[in-house]
Amino acid sequence: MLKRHLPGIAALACAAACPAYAQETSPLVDSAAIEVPNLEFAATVKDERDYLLYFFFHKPGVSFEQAMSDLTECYSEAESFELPWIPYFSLLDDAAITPKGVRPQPNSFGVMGAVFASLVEDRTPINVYEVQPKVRMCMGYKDYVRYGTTRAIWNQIAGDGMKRAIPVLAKIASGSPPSAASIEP
Amino acid sequence: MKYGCALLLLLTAAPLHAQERQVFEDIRPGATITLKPDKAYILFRSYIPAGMTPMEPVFLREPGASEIAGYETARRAAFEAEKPKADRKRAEIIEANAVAARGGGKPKPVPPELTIDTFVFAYRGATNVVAARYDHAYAPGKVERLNLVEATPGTYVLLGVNNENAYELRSCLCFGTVSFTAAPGMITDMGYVLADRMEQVSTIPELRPVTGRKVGPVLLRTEVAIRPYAEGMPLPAALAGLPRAAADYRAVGKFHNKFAAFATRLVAMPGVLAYDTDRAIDLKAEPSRTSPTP
Repeated sequence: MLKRHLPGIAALACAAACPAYAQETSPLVDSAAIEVPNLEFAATVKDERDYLLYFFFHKPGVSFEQAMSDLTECYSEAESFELPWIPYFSLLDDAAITPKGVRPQPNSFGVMGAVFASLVEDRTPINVYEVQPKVRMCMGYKDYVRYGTTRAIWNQIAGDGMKRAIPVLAKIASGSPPSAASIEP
Repeated sequence: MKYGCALLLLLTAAPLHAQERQVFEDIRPGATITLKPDKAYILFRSYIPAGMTPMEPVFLREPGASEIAGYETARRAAFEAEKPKADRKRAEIIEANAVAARGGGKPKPVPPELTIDTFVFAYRGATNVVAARYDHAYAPGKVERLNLVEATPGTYVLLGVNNENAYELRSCLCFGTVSFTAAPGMITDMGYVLADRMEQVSTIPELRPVTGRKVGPVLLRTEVAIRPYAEGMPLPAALAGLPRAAADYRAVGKFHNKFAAFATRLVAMPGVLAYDTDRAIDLKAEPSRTSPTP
């Protein structure tokens, strides 16, 4: 069955198994140029309650490029179209289509590099109510560790939209382990 | 829509390729059951934990070649109709941005050029994503119930679950699920399809390891497991003498969460489905593998 669905899932499977951002060309995003806000804060009860919405990830040993690929995959899938009413028609092989209507065509940065490149520069803040629960599941399956943050810090990370947030989140995920305690995956 | 390249069109024209209409009819209590040789019959049991709203499994029947051809033809036609409009809109934004730039204004996001590869639409020429109705059980009950559905034969993927006639895929098993073949002229017995809220530790053994955490506000989050058919599972007397076989499950890897409110994965199934981080493992193809996570 997995083989039967291969054309559909190959793109995403490759994103997990293959180097997503080939290094023989210049990187799609220059990690050195990314500024990470100060992540330190003294948590209040309200902050802790808001960890359902405001959080970032870290994974020991993960590269910036892999974190970019994983975050791009999880965030690009997390905003849905309006839900169609059942019954409807769908190909399972539409797995290769993102909700933005893009069938990712592998480029020199890999499939997720292509998806990232296709994300529109849009400064609309991420809809945390819709997106964050899905991203949490997706990144949790990839064995990332979750850390809560404040709304103010989150807005520094992601207030300018998804395309600007992903590289910052990738730099955090692949950087030094956060000093705060991790929270439930 | 904030992403300009995402064009969602509803195509209502008849498909160019003739195809059989998807059948997925719940058989109601007391109905006389005669298995038709050209129809498949899918049976599943469900258990409704205290406080849980009844759920409805959502299936995707793998479409045949003619259905796919009809879809692709309609998609091409819709693309050709949409392309000039998308190009015109894109050109207008580029032009407006040039004017804004001269006046020191902020540019608007420019959508990528629409191509057939970047075009997606909702096809209404056929259906293959279907759900059983929780209130149409063949053997109804408040805690346990059994559904029997007359369906188009084929391979069905358990796509996720819906809740209480919501007519939407509320929880997608996008990160791993199973499929099975529903053969004509007989009942395919799925065993139990089990679902419970993620927020509290489930009383259902299969769901206990994956429940007990809140992952977000507002929506009901559901985890799902299958308990394959085994001797002794309840079966109405009227079905006992009919041709029936346990569903032969196969693992289905990750697929895209295109149309779901939430995404999770089916609990690992011994001998069928395991996981290695976010990758689904087909244990029938790799029987030596084990599942480190549920």
